Amino acid sequence: MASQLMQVYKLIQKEFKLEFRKRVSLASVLLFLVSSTYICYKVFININGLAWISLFWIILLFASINLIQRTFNQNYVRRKWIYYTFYEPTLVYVSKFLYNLFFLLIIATLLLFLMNMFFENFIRLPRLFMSGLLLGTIGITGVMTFVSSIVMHAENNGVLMSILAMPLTLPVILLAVKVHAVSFSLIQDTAVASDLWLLGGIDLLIFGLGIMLFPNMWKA
Amino acid sequence: MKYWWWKILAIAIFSYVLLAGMLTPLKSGIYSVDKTKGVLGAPLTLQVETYNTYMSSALQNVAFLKLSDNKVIRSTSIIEKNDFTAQINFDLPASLSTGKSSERATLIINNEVDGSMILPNAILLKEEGNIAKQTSSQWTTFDVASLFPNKGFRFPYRNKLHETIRNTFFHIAIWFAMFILLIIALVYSIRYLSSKDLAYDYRAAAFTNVSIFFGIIGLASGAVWAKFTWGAFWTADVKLNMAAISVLIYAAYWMLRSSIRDVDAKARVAAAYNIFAFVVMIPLIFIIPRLTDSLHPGNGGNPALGGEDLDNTLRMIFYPSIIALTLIGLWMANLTYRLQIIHDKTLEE
Repeated sequence: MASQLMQVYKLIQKEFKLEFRKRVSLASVLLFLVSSTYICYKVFININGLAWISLFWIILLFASINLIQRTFNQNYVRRKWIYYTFYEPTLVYVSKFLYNLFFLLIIATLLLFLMNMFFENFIRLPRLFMSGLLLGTIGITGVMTFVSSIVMHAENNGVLMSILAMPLTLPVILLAVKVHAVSFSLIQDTAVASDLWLLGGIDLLIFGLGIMLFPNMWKA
Repeated sequence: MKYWWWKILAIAIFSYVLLAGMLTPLKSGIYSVDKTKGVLGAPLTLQVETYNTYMSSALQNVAFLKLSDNKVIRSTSIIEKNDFTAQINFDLPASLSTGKSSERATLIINNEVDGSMILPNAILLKEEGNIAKQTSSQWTTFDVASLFPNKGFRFPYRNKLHETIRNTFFHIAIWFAMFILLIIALVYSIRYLSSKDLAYDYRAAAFTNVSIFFGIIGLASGAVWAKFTWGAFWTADVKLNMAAISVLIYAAYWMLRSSIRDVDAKARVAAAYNIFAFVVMIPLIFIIPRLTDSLHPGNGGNPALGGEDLDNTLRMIFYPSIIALTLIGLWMANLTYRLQIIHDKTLEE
């Protein structure tokens, strides 16, 4: 177990090294975030709570597609023999997942900051909002990482990524939006805890499926 | 005969579904009433239109207005104009037996030919103080045993659904069949991943393609039904939209297969995606619709496939229909699979 954790740590470390050697791709995601939020601000100026939530999740969804698309990109395909020889597929998947989750959480925090700066702050129940955001982000990362490992084998994978990932993220996003609507006091729901449990369960399911299925196709 | 008996069975069952499902008449029912209100203590005359009835040939027509405490007022007279229209006269008592000032009463019409017809919450009975009480009738306890029973094998008559209740055999059954086919496709995908035998992959693809086709038919038949009962082809109903998204997820499976050239890579990736998609679809169709309000039965507190929406007469057609559509799906998938094999062979030569 300890050696596996060490391997995951090494893999993530390597990911960071590769990422910061070429900072442009990360910068492009951040620029996308700022520019899309700013466009929304110029278009809407004032928005209500429901529009806030939908804009937040739409921008986060597209940012996550941009970010996670590169998980299994050409760089990975070029180095894949190194991965095959030295690492277990499960550990590669877990490290990619954790690395993506780390960046997506940073992006979500930044987006939260931007949205609150440009628009009004609607959050009434911060703890509920943050737990919905965390669980939603985990679910999106799980789906996107898995889909990214799928489209690695296909041609024109940019288009395919959005086609495959959008409908699959829907259960996560619907539940997260509902939790956020409760945290904005837009709707009253005494059973919101069960929604959070359900969201957590779906996250776990998605992550577990990814770990289970990834070893079957990474050498395809 | 050893291998294709089930195809004959599928045709036989589906013919039975078509014939019995389309030719069995509906029970008689009350189509419309011209009034929605009645003033207590005054006579009430209702013009009633009924459906599938033989009122003029019936000799013992009788009507009741029933309250929630099982007390009824009996009609004083019924004048039948023809088989489908009648004028019903009531003498309403001066007050309600429940002690309230107003209540919705259920209209019941009964005769020896058509049995009993019920229109729930048809007439609002209420007191109006300034009217002189003209009647002396009293509430009596309702005796269900005194009604004439419904005769013959007939489907239930439901207001708003009318004849479209027959769509149960096609719209609902095809979703059941689609789900069974998706489970079969899932099993083949798992078997492919454990054995790496390409035949399993072809079978999984064939079953998924037929399921997508069934899903599109399910959406289309649902849209027609929604136009009749809810007033629009497409609504914001949660189950409808979740089903549409599930079809999209599986349409993406088809896209994925066509964009990978290498056969083995395609098979592995498609099998993995198929398993993933199936698991993600379960919360979409079975969990999320139950959390929110929906127009579909079984969601937001409505009874699911029970009560008067699916009685024993409907069940006698509905369950065979699921079996028949599943067998037809198997047959279609089998043909698709064989076509794919032939296609591959001709490419090799």
